[in-house]
Amino acid sequence: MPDIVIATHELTKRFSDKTAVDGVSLSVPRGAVYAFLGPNGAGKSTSIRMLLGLLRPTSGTLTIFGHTLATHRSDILRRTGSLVENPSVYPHLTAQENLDIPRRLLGAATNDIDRVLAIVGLAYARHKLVRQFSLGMRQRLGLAAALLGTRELLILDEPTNGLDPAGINEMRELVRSLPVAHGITVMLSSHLLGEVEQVATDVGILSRGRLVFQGSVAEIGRRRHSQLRVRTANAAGAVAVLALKGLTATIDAADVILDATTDAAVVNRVLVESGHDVRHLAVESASLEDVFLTMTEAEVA
Amino acid sequence: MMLAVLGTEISKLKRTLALRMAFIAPGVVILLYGLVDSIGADRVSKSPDVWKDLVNNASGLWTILMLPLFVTLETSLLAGLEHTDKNWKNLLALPPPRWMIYLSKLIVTVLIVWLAHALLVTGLIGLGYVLKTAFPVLHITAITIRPLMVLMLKVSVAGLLALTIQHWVSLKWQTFTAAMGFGMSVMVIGFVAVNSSDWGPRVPWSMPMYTIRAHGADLTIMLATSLLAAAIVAAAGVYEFSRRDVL
Repeated sequence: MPDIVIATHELTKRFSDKTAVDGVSLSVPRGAVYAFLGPNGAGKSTSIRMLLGLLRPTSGTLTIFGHTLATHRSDILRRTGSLVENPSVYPHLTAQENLDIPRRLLGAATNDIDRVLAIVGLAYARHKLVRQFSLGMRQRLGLAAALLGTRELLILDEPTNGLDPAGINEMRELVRSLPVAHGITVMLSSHLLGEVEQVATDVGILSRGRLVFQGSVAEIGRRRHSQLRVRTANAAGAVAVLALKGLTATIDAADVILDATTDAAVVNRVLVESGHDVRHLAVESASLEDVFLTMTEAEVA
Repeated sequence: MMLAVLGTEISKLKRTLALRMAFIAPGVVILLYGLVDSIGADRVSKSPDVWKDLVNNASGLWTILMLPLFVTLETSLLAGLEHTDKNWKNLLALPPPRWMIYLSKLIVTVLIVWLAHALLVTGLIGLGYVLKTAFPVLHITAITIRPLMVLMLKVSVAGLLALTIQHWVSLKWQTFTAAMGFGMSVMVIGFVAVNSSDWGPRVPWSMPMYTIRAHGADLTIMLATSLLAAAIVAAAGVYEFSRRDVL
């Protein structure tokens, strides 16, 4: 059984009449890049805030590094860097002065600021007032603060918000490198599976406060629905011919759709021999994004 | 760790209006009385003790009008450092316990108010010497420092309760207007209460003003009440702050 860094059991948060997080049991293995996914308002940020001790759970339990926040808060937060939603900064201070605050509270060395500024590519702007920073620069500064000290876990809530495509790529590369280069476990939330599928090893999908899927990216991949798509001039006629041969087909957008396990060569021969010219024949897999949408929409329904 | 937290809270003051106000507020009072006593030197010189009048008038203006405004503004500006950009979610996800952060912020606010008091005392003494030298017509002979220092020390202690309450209010509500509105409202209550010998020494917002007329046991009890009640309010604030949800 892998070493589990974050473990929650039936974690629940209610705000007066609304249940934002409903019995969520997360399990984040050490060394993973865990993508915490869900549409906006699904309860991702609320869950993350509970992990960081910013919100008190209504019920359920939560352990990080095998300990609870109630007994080991300082130790857990010293080992956990975070970036929650938009970056929080002091705009009247320079980048270096901003980083010096968490550095001192973490007890990290002064030159640690140089290290994290180099990682996020902001060394050139260290003496610039943060009020002059773009949103992308602020995001990178927030990430630099999260990397200060000796972190073993990084919790990033929508870290690519406000970043341009180049910035998103940089962030992706950085996240991908953290477990390998620094041994850091990463949990990052997003409302787009496509955005994180290239870096994530594990996925948790949240919908309306409930965890609807948790497992490896490979596992979610296996849930992709595949189909055989055939294009002919007369879809209805083709379906009828295939039915005579015992092959079940349906029509989608004027194309003939069969189960992906059907032998494509047989389908092609049957149609051609019955006078239906085949213009397109391919096995199609649903994208991970489609699987994600199916899961979250099923929960809503 | 408490010293580290306190150090970071102080470092956040760099380039802030909150820090500048600690110089501006007493500076305004000193400048005002500097102008009054220099431009109206002939009229002011009719007083038997110009220095004593200067101390009474300046400390009176500070205690009655400037201090309540200053405390309200300072607590709101300092809380605004965290409310703006929702910095709480970053700060409170760091290792120091919440009580330490709450108390450090309270200590910084007290230090700023006391810095303003020290600057007021220093500025008034400086003004006294300038007037003595530049305006012989004022007949300022002895510049007695002790009564001014003792008065401002008493005001500093008497103001602690109101400051501690205002600090809690400012951290509790995210909007600048809520904290300012509360401060302005209770300032008016203080103005009314100070005229009553029953309420003057008991209402937190009239205590600093009442210091000017309180003597003996009444004064001691009032200062002790301010200190003790401030400690209780701070403890209640820490309790509430430690359990607060950060959205």
